[in-house]
Amino acid sequence: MSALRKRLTATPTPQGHAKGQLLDSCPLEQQDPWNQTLATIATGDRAAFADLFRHFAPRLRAFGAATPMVDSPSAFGDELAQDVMISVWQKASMFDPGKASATTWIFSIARNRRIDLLRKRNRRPEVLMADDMFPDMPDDSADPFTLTQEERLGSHLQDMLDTLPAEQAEVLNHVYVEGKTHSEVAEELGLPLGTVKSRIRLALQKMKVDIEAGWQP
Amino acid sequence: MIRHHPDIAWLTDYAAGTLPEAHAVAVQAHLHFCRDCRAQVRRLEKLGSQLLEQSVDGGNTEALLEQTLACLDKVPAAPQQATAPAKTGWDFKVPTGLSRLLPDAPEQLSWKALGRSLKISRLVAGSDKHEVALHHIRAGGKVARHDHGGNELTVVLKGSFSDQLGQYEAGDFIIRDKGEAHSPNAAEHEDCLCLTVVDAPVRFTHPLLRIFNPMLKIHPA
Repeated sequence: MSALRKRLTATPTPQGHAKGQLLDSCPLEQQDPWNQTLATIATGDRAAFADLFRHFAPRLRAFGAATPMVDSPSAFGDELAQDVMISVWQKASMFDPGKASATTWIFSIARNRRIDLLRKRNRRPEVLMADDMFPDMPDDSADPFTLTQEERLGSHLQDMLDTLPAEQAEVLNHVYVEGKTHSEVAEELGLPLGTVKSRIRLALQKMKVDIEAGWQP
Repeated sequence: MIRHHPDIAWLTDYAAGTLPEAHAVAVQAHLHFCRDCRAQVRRLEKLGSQLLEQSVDGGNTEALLEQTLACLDKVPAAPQQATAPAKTGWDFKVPTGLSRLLPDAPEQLSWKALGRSLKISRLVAGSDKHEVALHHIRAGGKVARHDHGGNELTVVLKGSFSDQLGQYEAGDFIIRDKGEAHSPNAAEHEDCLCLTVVDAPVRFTHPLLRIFNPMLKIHPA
């Protein structure tokens, strides 16, 4: 989570720049560099797929392996990484960079596939699938205010994450990467639920992710 | 106008994918109506993508890449549409998540009348802890005052109702906790339809109705 670790783990983007540098040196360039790679994958290009795989598979594997209550975390990490990358291959032509960046799109596939794979593993009834609970939302990007907020958020989020107090970064990681609810995180850390909620709320407010509904500039 | 929203903890758990299905489908029903919360969820998903970006394991993935490339020949190129088809026999636009749980038209559900004003239809959502149901309150109808054994989550799908704590319209997302007794009252001019998710039975508070309480059970399905 530290800046040091980020530098150590930064891998070259398709343009050959480290991602952080790209954003820092070109504030106007707010596009996710992987957007173009996905467009190339949509044409059936396996070399582009391999590029994307080398960047995202280690992340997806860590994301899967962090899942609580699976017997073999590393095997689940491999299974999830492979499953998500195959979905990316199948769905690349449906990717719309106007709605979400490539990285956000891949995160949503990873979240959804983890839910469905866990349900299957636990032999729970398959009535509501993740794609039902997380359907494509209507494109609200015609709203100029929303778009500006999201563009600004995109370029600063990574830096702001690095400036969060460790206790706030920790709870965010528990929720997003390990996939635990606020209550489960509270139980694991031995904290009152209210403390976990307020840590997350403070982090989200600091990063300008939490903007009160109906708030106007 | 929507005045009652899931709080940021609910939206974060939704965007991170940690909510039980029954709760996620209720949040999705609210998002169907609420542009502000959709924008909030987009930001929360973007945050998720940054956390994914930061979580890396150092191991080699070349062998996994070879295996995966070999699989690409066997998978169909065009993915199937994963969400349920739109349900058009209803007099409101059914939120996508809920579409999976509903038949084509309300007549195809079995409804159980509870008094003159309220009828309920339980839905099968694949849940082992929560009862998911539609509550239909006739225009001007009043539901007997009741308390909740646990949490009661309500999303107004159509029409409006009010209770001691406020007035609710289509899209409003309402959580009633244990101890928050209320008697919902539908608006005079229109029937009200709500999606509800409960994890414990309701409890009538009126002395004459209390005799029914031991018989009230939830049916997670």
